[in-house]
Order: sequence, then structure tokens, then C-alpha cells
Amino acid sequence: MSDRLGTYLLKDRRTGKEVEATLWQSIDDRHVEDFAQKWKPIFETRKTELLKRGALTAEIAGEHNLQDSHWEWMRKVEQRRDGLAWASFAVEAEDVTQGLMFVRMDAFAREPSQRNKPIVDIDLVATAPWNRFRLVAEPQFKGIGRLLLAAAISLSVHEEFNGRIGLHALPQAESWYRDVCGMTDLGIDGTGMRYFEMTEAQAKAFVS
Amino acid sequence: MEMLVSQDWLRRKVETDPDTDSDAGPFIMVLESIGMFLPPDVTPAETQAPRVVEAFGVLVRQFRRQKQWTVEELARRARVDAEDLRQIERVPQVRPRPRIVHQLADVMGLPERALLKLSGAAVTRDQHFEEESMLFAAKSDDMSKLSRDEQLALNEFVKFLTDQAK
Repeated sequence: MSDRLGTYLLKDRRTGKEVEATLWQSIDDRHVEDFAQKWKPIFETRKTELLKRGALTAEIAGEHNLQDSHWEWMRKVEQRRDGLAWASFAVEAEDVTQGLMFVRMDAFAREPSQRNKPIVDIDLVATAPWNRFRLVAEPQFKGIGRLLLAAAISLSVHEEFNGRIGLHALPQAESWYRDVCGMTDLGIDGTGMRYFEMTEAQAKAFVS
Repeated sequence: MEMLVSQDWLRRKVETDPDTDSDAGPFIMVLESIGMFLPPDVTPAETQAPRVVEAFGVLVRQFRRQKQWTVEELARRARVDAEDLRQIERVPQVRPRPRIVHQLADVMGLPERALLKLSGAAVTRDQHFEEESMLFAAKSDDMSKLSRDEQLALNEFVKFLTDQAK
């Protein structure tokens, strides 16, 4: 059962208008359904294109478990729904899931000033395909990533972690987390991705 | 749990935030690594004309020489590994990871999409692009300082790459 955390306004880049969005804590069946029925077909179409052009081989797809028709999300939702260490969030607008986030609460900080203190670790932040710069020419909604990051910080404060959060950013999102969100860049780690952390002071600045 | 931000907070921030991606997490990186989020006109390369890839190494080297930076200096500014840069500059067969191309595009002030094509991280079927890239690579000499001709060739090629993004 999802809890409604609040109503916010996203900007629709296509119309220039504000659109009401609801932030939910805990991903529900309908969000999973949206992923399966509305997000996944767009990813699948892209995957088919890549296969057709020879850019993605069945072997590579297999290596990354992309042959799984339900992708990773479905499995993760099922596995994590009841896990005490996990929390999930969804953003809905126009009756469709626009963004999803999974976080874990059993992680510890690496940044020297807060090393080994508990943090909320963002395992996954994803926006719907039609909100992505690299998938569509004119992505629709703006504000989803910021809202979900604010939710992670709020959870961190609620858990008495003082706003401390961590995440691994995609290359094209690195400047967002470092330069706009003010997170500390701790370099590329064993995941091959750049790891960022937000301290208590940085979290306060972000939500102010 | 109580949210620490208001509706007005988000509205204000959205107005001034840059238009950029915010995806995070190793799973989403899997999708990134197969080219799921590459622009529609480029796809990850299985093969790429060697001379086009060579032009990427030449471009990085020429840019660095123009700035009179050492490999270490460029690596520091782009936040990439210096050894990766050396490989890019010296070994035409090397196809740098998209992250490195992204970081270099930032420092060089060039459109990422054009650099992805040039680097072999994405394949292009644009013959004009290939011809321009090969022509640029052929004009390069490895003197310590850029000659006037090399400087002109570099400027022309940078303009060509920038125009690609328009």
C-alpha cells in the first residue's frame, strides 16, 4: 500500500505548463503495471532497433539479462517490496508513473567527514522513457529527478541519518549531482560508475 | 515520513535547473552500456572505420597540444585516467568508454554526440563525417607544437564537429 507524500508541480516542456504530480512512498502494483505496459515497450522497441542494426547481439543481451521479458525492475520490486532495508518511491502525473526510485537504508558513508555513518543509498532512480533526453527529442516532464532526490533526503532525516545520502550516477547525470545538487564526487568505484555522497550540510543546502 | 520540501520549492528550482538527465544506479548503467540511451541517429559500434577512430585520438592530442597541457593535466581536468588518455592518443584501435568521451566532450567544449561518433563508441553511416574525420587525421603531424596548418585544420575540424550538433 502506497502512502501519498504530497502533490507537486512538474513542468511540461512540451506545453510550458505546470502539471500536478503525486509523490508516493512505496511502489505499488499500478506503478509496476505502468512500467510493464508503458515504459518497457519503448525500451523493447529501442532494443529491437539495436539488434536490427547489429549494434546489440543476442550474446550481449544475454550477458545483461536483457532477454528477460520483464527486465530487472519487476524482479526487484517483488524481491524488495517486503524488505525492511529497502524503500521505494514513485512519481505520478497524468495518471501515469513518471519516475521510480529504490533506496536502501543499510549502507554506510564513505566521505571522510561522515565515514561509516549510516546513509540512505539510492540504488536506482529512473524516469519514464518519454522524459529522457537520449530517448526522445523533446522530453516531457522536468523536476522528477529533483523531487525524488528530495524524497531520499527526507527519508534520511526521518531515519535520523541527518540527510546523508549516496548514489552512483550515470555519466550524463554526473554534472547534475555534482554541480547542481552539490554532492561530493568520490570518484569511480568498483561498479565502474562515479559515486557521489551528500553530507548533512549539503542536504540542508539542497532542500533550502 | 514527512517531505522537507514544498510545492513552491520545487516550482522555484525547476525554473532554474538545467535541462539534464538525473538517472542513477548500476541497473540503469546496464541499459546505458548497451546504447539504450544513445541518441537515435547513433548506435553503439561493433565496427568502425579505423581512420575515423584514429581521428578521435588525433583530435584529443591536438587539443591538448593547443592548450599546452600534459596528458596528466588533461586527465585531471576531464577526471579520467591518464593511462586511458595515453591509449586513446596512441592506439587507433582503442574505443574509449562512453563515460570518457562524455568527460572529454565537457572539457573540450564539443558536442558529445559528434565525439561519440568519432570515438567509435557509436557507429555512424555518415560518409561526409567519415571523410572529414579522415582528412583531419591525415593532416596531423606529431610535432611538439602545433604548426599553423595543423592549427587551421584543428579549428576547421572543431567547427565541423560543432556544426554537427546544430
